[in-house]
Amino acid sequence: MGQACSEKSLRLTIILLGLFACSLTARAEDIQWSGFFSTGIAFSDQSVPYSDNAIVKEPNIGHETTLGLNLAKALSPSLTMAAQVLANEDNADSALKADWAFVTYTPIAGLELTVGKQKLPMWLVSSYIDVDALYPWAHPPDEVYLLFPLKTFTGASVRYSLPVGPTILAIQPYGGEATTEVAPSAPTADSKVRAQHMFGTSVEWTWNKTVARAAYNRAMWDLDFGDTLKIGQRRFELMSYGLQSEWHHVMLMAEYATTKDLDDQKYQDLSKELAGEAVAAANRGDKEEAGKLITQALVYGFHFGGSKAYYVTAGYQFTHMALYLTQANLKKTPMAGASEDQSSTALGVNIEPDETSVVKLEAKRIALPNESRGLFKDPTKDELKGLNGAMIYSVNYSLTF
Amino acid sequence: MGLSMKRFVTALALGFLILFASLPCQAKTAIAVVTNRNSRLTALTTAQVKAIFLSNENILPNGVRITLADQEKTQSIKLEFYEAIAQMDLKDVSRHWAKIIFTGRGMPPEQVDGGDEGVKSWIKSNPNGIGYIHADSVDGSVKVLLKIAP
Repeated sequence: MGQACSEKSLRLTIILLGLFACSLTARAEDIQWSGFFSTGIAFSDQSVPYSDNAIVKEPNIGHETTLGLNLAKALSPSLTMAAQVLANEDNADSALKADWAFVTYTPIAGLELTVGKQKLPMWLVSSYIDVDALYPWAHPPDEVYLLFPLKTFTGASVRYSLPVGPTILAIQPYGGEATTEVAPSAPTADSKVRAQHMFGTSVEWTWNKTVARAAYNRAMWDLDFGDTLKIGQRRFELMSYGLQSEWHHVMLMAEYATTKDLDDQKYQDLSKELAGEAVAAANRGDKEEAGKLITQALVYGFHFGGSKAYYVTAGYQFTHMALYLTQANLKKTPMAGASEDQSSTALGVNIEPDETSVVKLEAKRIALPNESRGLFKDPTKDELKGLNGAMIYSVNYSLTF
Repeated sequence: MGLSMKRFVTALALGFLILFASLPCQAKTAIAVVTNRNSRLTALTTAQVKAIFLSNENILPNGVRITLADQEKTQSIKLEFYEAIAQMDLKDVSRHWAKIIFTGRGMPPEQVDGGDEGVKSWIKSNPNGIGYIHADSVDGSVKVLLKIAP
């Protein structure tokens, strides 16, 4: 009851703020807009789909195409509103979808209060992760960025920037909730993952062209998908650390992240309990019940935390071209005998014909340890036997306008 | 033959002399960060100028709300200004603002055309406006907040 009330209050606050913002809207010509577009192809030397983009041998253009529009308006000297709409294949019908929309109030220098749907400040490129032209890779390193499926949350955040000598320290605590679709191409009422009671903070230190940051996020993840798959409610934590630096023509980016499921032990115990009940049911001759119980025991036995991942990218910028080398690694074992460990090395060449567009060519070698499926999607047992890695090739064109 | 070679060398030397004399002066001049002469602002440090021109902050720590005028990228002073305050070239500046715009956290300063005269004219109509012009373009219509040596 209390939870439902607080959710309603949050939504009501956001709606009221939105209405307040809209009431102050004067003329359409005051709205500043900008946009971005990216398209490309990616293909692999393996037929097993790789990562969320489902990269296979046949080049797919749809997964690589995104159009975004940003709108911003100063409602008063201290109040601004901003929104981003996206069209990509994550949307079932490729229609435009509001990615984020928020109102920011700046009462004093260095303090920003933001309410609405916002990007989660988890990574170095979180806030512009859909704008391919602004980061070096054809795809952000999957090993790290796929550890956390959420990109946005709905709620409130406070950002305080404090000058410390020649540097700036920014702290951004936030709270709210988030929902993500696990079956974007065929969404149903039961295919959404909800992260509730979310809170976290990011701390960012900027000194000239160097940024060091750390971020923490914790939420209660509701992983029950209707009656078909019940994984439970789990308190999930993610910590990330990042460093980005440029000096002269050399660029360095690195991030490290760890995850933790605070309810893991509880569900491991439940799993053992159900396994015992399954054995008892089997002994009674109730095979159907035993099958259900053992399936549920296996699902409860998944480890959602305990993952570690990092990447390091080094680059060199020429006048209209840049070279990048990225090494990434993931350690993730959701259950015994089902490792998702993988490492990858990517070499990229970015050609920049002007300030607003870039053509990216990338070749990525993925290596899998024995019996690991890495980030490949649902390989069969036979496919897994012959799968020890892959080459992924990407060509991507992106621009901002 | 010897004479014609002498003439040729002399003509070549004269040609270079005329060419160099006719080249426009490329020497950098000092840059002045200026505001409206009636503004409450009195002075800014280089660090403050960098912070306000590269962030979406429109309030100074003393509570003064400001607006900014940027020069067009075709004006050489723009590159000189950002190199001086932040060691950034125009590509860096463009990428910096793209990251802020696509985060929804701000908008770049208004780009004013007409070079130094355009900025001075804009500042006249913006009481808390801040812009930058060549120091030798400063006149009684603006107040200098910071002078950046070439």
